[in-house]
Amino acid sequence: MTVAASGQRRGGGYLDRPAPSSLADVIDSILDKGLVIDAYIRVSLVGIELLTIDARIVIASVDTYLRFAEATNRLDLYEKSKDLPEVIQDMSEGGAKGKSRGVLEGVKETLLGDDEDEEKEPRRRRRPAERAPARRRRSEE
Amino acid sequence: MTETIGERAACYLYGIAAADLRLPDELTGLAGRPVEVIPYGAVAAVVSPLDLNDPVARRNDLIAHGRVLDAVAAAGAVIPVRFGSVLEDSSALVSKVLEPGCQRYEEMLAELDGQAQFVVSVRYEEERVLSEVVAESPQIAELRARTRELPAESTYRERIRLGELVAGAVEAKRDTDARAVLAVLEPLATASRLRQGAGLDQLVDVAFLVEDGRRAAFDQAAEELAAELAGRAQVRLVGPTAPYDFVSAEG
Repeated sequence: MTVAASGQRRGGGYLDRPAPSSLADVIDSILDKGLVIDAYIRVSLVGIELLTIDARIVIASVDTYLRFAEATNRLDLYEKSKDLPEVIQDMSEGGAKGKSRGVLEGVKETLLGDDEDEEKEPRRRRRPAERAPARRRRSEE
Repeated sequence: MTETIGERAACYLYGIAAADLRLPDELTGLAGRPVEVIPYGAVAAVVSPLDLNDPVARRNDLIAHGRVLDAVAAAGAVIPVRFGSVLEDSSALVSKVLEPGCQRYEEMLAELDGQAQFVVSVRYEEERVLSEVVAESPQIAELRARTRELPAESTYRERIRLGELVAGAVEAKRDTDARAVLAVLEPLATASRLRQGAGLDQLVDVAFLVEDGRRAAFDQAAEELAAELAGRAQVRLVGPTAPYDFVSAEG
């Protein structure tokens, strides 16, 4: 398909071009998008949406502040003799990518679960249609 | 065939396209069911049959919804419908959706024609941006130095204050950087929508509607932006996809 092909076209660049429909976080972002029609059933997915909202509220929480303080304290820019650009250079060369990724990454993963868990999870029951209005709060269109 | 939508089978609705849309071959949707079009006048509904005993709320279903819409978008203009929209049968689809809305859908499709959505997500390299914040604020540097060597329990309040200051500093940095990112890409797009994001490492998350003819230029600009920000932030470009961010809920 053309999407995948365009992703391959520019090898070696800095731009990350993943295939759209395989990404949980991309898919999560289409959950509350699209035309609302007069449907017989609209699956409300209240549980998932509330988690998304929580992820946004949690930014201004004590817990998040503590995690930021911890990430800041973990930085290894101790050598006072070096000026900052040099230190930065050292850090990016040192790699250590895995442990430094997003302070909030754990929150995001809970939104839709990760691939491995998928089949183990029991099927989520359809929520009653009358709960659908709860979802509207998020759509600011 | 029992698989296709008959009088009694419920229809899962993905989106609305032009009646002359040529669906990609063998396109399957939720639960692996075949995707079909139900035309009405100049427009058509893109649907697949749905067994109502199958609850639609799994992550797989959401992925299938996006996959079908993106495949349809590659073939022609499409109006994505909100995930989880189900009509009781094909006649309800015509009477409730296509008949009352066909005029409006036709206009919307004309506006979207020849364009695709691209989402650019820029994430800070956490260590790098935190280093900048420490270097730029004596107050943060001082608090960091003070809390760093002491046991966590004895510096609880100071650490909350430190985190709050860091969060504020990152926020301010993001405002500036996001403006710079938008200034590069916005001129190449028909429209853009800023997405609300969850993470403090997020610099900017924005959906662009890009004309097919400007796709290469947009691509190039995103590539250059990524090269420019390398080491400081990561740029991800997802697309082309269906124009999820460019149809309002009410149509």
